[in-house]
Amino acid sequence: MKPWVGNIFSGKVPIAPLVVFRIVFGGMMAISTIRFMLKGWVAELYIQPRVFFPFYGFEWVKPLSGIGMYFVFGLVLVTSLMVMVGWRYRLAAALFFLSFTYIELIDKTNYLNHYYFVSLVSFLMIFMPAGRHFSVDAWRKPSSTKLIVPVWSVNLLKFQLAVVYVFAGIAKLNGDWLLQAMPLKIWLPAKSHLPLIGPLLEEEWVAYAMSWGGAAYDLFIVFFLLNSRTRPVAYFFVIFFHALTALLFPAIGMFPFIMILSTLIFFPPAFHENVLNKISRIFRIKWPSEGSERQDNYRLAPVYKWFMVTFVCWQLLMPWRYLLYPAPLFWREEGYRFSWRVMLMEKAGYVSFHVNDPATGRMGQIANHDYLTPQQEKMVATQPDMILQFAHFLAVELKNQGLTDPEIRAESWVTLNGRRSRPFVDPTVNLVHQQESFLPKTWILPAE
Amino acid sequence: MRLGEYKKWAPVVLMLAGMMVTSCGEDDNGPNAGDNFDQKGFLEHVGSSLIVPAYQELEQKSGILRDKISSFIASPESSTLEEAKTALFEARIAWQYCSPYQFGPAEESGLVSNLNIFPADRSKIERNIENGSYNLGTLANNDAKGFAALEYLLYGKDVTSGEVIQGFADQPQRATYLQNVAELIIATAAEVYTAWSPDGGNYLGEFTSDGALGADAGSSLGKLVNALNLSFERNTRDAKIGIPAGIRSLGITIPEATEAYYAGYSLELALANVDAYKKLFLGQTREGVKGLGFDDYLKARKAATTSGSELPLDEAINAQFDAVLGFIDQIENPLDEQIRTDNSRVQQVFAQMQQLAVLLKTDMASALGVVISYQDNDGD
Repeated sequence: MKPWVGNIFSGKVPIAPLVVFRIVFGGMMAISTIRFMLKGWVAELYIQPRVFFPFYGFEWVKPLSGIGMYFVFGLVLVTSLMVMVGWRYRLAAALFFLSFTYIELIDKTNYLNHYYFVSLVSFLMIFMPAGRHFSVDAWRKPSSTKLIVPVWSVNLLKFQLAVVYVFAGIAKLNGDWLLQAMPLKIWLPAKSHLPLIGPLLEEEWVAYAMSWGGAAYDLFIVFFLLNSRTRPVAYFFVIFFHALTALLFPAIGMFPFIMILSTLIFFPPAFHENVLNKISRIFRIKWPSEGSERQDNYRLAPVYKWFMVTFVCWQLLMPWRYLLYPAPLFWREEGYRFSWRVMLMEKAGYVSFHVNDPATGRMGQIANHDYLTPQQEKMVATQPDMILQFAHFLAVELKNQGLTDPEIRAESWVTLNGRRSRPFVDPTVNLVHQQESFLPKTWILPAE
Repeated sequence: MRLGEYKKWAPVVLMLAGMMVTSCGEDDNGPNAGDNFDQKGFLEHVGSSLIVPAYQELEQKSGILRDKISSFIASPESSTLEEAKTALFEARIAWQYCSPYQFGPAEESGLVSNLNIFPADRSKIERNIENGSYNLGTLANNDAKGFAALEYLLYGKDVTSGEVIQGFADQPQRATYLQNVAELIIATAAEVYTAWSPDGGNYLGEFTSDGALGADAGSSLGKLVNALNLSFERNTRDAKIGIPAGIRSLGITIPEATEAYYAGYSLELALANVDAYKKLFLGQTREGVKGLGFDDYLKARKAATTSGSELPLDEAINAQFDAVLGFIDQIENPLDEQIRTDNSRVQQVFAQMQQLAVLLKTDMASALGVVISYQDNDGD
């Protein structure tokens, strides 16, 4: 095996970056969860809806009833705080991952790339020795303290962040983004009331500059963060870029702050040790030195090694799976999710479901809002897999109402990046007889 | 360039190409480049020349309606009954021009619930009158009040005017009920007008303030576009046409669900209502004076022309408004009779309205950067 490979698996590094990441991540998750609950979204998104849209293969994931969902969110909150302070760290990280991911799997309506990021990071953190220092665990059991950890743990986090950025950058390398400055040409003028920068946002060249600047930022920022000479400037750009997106697009919520703080992992151990020392001094805590419990020389068990390799490969391949489907991706959205396509297109649609009862020849249309929340209505209108799921839901609903073999067809119009809306799915296809699968959907109409 | 034609292998080449495009682009755009749209001016015009006058008119007509009903109750005879009916019709027309604006004060006051839920529930109204104890403020009584309830009481079902008048004479509580419904209408209409009026709550000031600019969920534009879409879909397309025509009930028609089932002028109301949306789109006052409208907004945003044969979006929407009005013109009053005899033409009106809803809700909202969501949420 080449020496550098050995180094990736068995190299050593001070624990400080991992500890800071643990505190920051746990803290931000706690804040996000409290914010989510205060906004009333638990009830709005997970209790009130009549229909849920689970992911393909995860149809067995169902929301708990009423108070049960609050319990799950409570668990997310408590475990994120436990991760932050490092109390029963590994158990907390595992429970956090499970409860958070469970919530995300309930309804793809609420899918966000940054939730996916949180699931992945929290999964990785289960396997990391991040609770061995500067933690309740280390305080209660000094012998468990570790000040030196395997380098793969920190590198895996850097890798995960690199994946987010680089793939977000690659996703921007398309004609609409680069040559039409779409969707920024729509989104930026909508912010032209902002003080100072407002008037600029209506200028077309600004949309182009920000499209290209954004793509370049995503593609290259990680490499500048990795290099110690460019890192300070790069981090300034991280703050600038994410602050700008937070200002322009308040609807993206916590994501900018999560990225600003997560990228601190790229700073050297000395930086993180400094931070921890300062905190220790303020609170007058003296942490135990390296504990007696020395179990290994930080060599990775083979099973972990292969697990790591698999995780990395999966991360590198997932965003490319769209190539297995017919183009264009933005129209068809097959292989769109779980690929770091963030703030990439302006897509809106309108879908009506036509019901035909062959037994009686009666025909009518569904009032979507009788069944769907506004957010669900919006998502169903532009995403073929959700159109199909809703049609199947309606079939069951109508059978319960006494129809023997209802036919359901969708008439839908979608506008993408400022193009005139056009029919999205084949209105002659009875969706009841179409099954969800990983195969391309034959009933999606061409984009132009 | 088409979507999906990626050149991921050569970002640098593309970047250089793009810089050239960018630098050339400014010269090519001619007079439209940097054509800033005066959003504040647009909101001021819509607010002060369309919305406030519409609510003012509604308040005035509702006041007249209440007075005419009082006169009728004081002297129940044919002439006062006719005057009350005329006042009802005029107030209902005034309402049609308020219906796109169900946000802010109108939402807080429950204007639609108190004024225009239809069809009215006849038996509930009769039960209320019989019992004498009722609270018109409750949700349960939404279909026992408002214009539709007044209409039922003034026109009756399958009875002559004489019998209607006799009914009030025989049953004093009936007159009280009529009066109470009319009072609730004027009270709510006045509340909303006062809230909008610069001399009252001055919601107009809030609507046009700098803090309410932009296109986000809480902005005035966001509220206006969301409200007009919600109202057009549910109160216009579905309630006036779709539901009676059986679109929402697997083709089983419900002629009695038409807006003016007893009075027989459902189509006048529908035409006025669509006209209200069209005038809002064009930024026209009731008298037809043109100011900044959504059409100008779309022009400034150079909205959507992909293939050469396509109309610009503002013209396409305008044409679709005319199509809807044209198809309504081709059907005849009373609408319930039309539904019974030749429902396919009513269904055509629905189809045209559906097409208009698509343009307003997807193309227009998308081009203006307005997110259609009646729900607060994070996105990415």
